Parts: sequence; structure tokens; C-alpha cells
Amino acid sequence: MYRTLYFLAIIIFPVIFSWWLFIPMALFFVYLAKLPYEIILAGFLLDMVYYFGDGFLARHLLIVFSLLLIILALFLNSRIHWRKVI
Amino acid sequence: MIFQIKHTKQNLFGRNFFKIFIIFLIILVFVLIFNIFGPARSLASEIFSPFFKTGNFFYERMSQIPKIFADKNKLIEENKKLLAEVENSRLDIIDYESIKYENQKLRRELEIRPEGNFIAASIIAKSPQIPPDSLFLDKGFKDGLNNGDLVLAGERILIGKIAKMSKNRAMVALNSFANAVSYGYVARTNEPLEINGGGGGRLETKVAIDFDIIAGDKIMVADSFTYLAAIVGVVEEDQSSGFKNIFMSLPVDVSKISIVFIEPLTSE
Repeated sequence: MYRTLYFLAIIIFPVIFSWWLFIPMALFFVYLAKLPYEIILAGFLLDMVYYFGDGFLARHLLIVFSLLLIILALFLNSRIHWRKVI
Repeated sequence: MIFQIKHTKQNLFGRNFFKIFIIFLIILVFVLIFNIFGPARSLASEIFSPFFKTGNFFYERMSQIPKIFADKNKLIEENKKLLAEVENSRLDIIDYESIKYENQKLRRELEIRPEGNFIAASIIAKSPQIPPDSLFLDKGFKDGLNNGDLVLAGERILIGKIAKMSKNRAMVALNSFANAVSYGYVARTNEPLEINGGGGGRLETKVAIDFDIIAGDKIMVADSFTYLAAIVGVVEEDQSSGFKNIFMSLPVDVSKISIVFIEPLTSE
């Protein structure tokens, strides 16, 4: 339940307040929830409306960030004690 | 009592690695498939529009907060000033009407393209809601916009180009967008120069030290018409390298405008 609410917040808050909020919120999501794949979807949705420039990385900036974050979390999954807050 | 110590094997990927990896792949495939389809972008823009409008409203209200705490005497003084400005504006309107009439008459005589060919669009969101040097508009390809269309703040004031679009929404990259390049000339001397976006509303270029340019010079861009694209703010001479660093700004304060005009590329 909280995880879903946070997922909605990570999409809505950056749109209302500022685009860069996605980055700290995604990092915090990884801290709060175990392997939050939802950030990929959020990054994908936000990338569709924002414009960061031309080129692959600029066009998919937030999704690339989310993917890197999740891949990192995936590798650390078995190595660290994960706080599963939500 | 005998205790046996069992060592747990620490697998790098963990027990549920494959399960997790499959979920990860499904999400990735889903994202890539939807990324290919244009309607997904339109849908996302439509969904986000009310939130962008809410944010825009929020930032507009935020800018008015200092006024709540203003001193009463200051407000009385401001009121007097505003009344005087209203009177001046009334006189300006009378002047404007006569100039407008004259302008229309001249347009007809000189066969200048009428103003009506521009597409007017409202700004739904601007920085800091969205990335710097971009604008989110309420018009899209359904309204006849194309990628690369010129975006004007006034009839001859160029501020950027359409960079990204969906059915009903468009994203504008301002001339000051980082790494955006446009080519113009100095209005006073007609000398050509390259204008590079520096990000954060800044435009810059580097010219030879003997290049004739001063602060306040207007930089024009010639397309189907001539547009004012930038105003020179600072000129820094670097004697050691033999170059001048020119720092410019957009001709208008983007944070204060709410409507822009788009000139379709196809028009002549």
C-alpha cells in the first residue's frame, strides 16, 4: 500500500514541483523498499514529457538513471542487509 | 550439547535472482514497447497536464507570498504609483490604437504577412517545474505544429524552437538551452556570429578580439523573417587568447510570459 503511494508520489511530485525531485525520491525509494522496479516506469513516464536534449542519453535520461539504480540494487541485493521499510 | 556451525553460501545474485531478473526484463520490454508508440507520449502528456497546471499555479502563488507581508505604508505608496501607471496606460492605449491602425495600413500597402498566421499557445509549465530552458505548451501536432517550428514571444522576438511533441502538447527548447546552436548577426554592423546556448537563460559566443560588438547590441536571426534572438549583456576581452567572450540573454524574461506564438516552418 505505502509502496504504491510512494510510486504515485514519485511520478506526481516532480511534475508539480520540480523535475529534479525524481532523483532524490528514486534514491530514497531504493532505501525504503526492496528493489523498487516502479522507478523504471516512473522514469519512463517522465522522460516522455521532459526534454533534456537530443541523443540517446538525453532522451532517456531518467530511465537510464533508474535502470542503473536498479541494476546496482540488484547486485547489492544479496550482499547487504536491506531495510524493508515499505 | 554439540553445535554444528553451518556456512551459508553467499551467492552474488541471491536465491531469487532469476525471478527478479524476469520481472526486470518484463518491465524493460514493456517500457521499450511503449516508447516506440507515439500515442503513449500523447497519453502521458495528457495525464500530466493537470499536474503541470497545478504546479504552475503553485509557483505563481509562491511569487505573491512576499506581498502578503508588505508594510502598509509601502502598499499605500504602491497603490498611488499603480494609479499613476493606470492613467499612463490609458493614454498609451489610445496611442497604441492609432499606431495599430497605422501599422495595419502599412502592412496592407507593403504586403507584409498578416499576424494571423501564427499559432498562439499557452505555457502550461516552465522552469523549475520542467528542465531549465524549456517550455511546456498546450498545443501539439493536432494543431499543426512541427518539430523545429520557431517559437516567438512577440511578432519578431524569437525565443526557441519546438523540440518534442505529442498530439496536444509540445516542448520548446529555448535558444539558451545547453548546447543549442543558432546563427545570427549583429544588428548594428551586420557581422555574422554563432550563438551557443549556455543553459540557465544564458547565451554565449567567442569571437575574434577585433570583432565590433558592444554591450546592448541586438543579435538578429534571419529565417523567413528577421527576428530578434538575443541581447548582448557582457563583453569580456581575453588579450592572452586573442578572443572576446560574449555573454547574451534572451530578449524577453521567459518567466513573465504566459503565451507564445509558433510560426510553422512551411509558411513563407
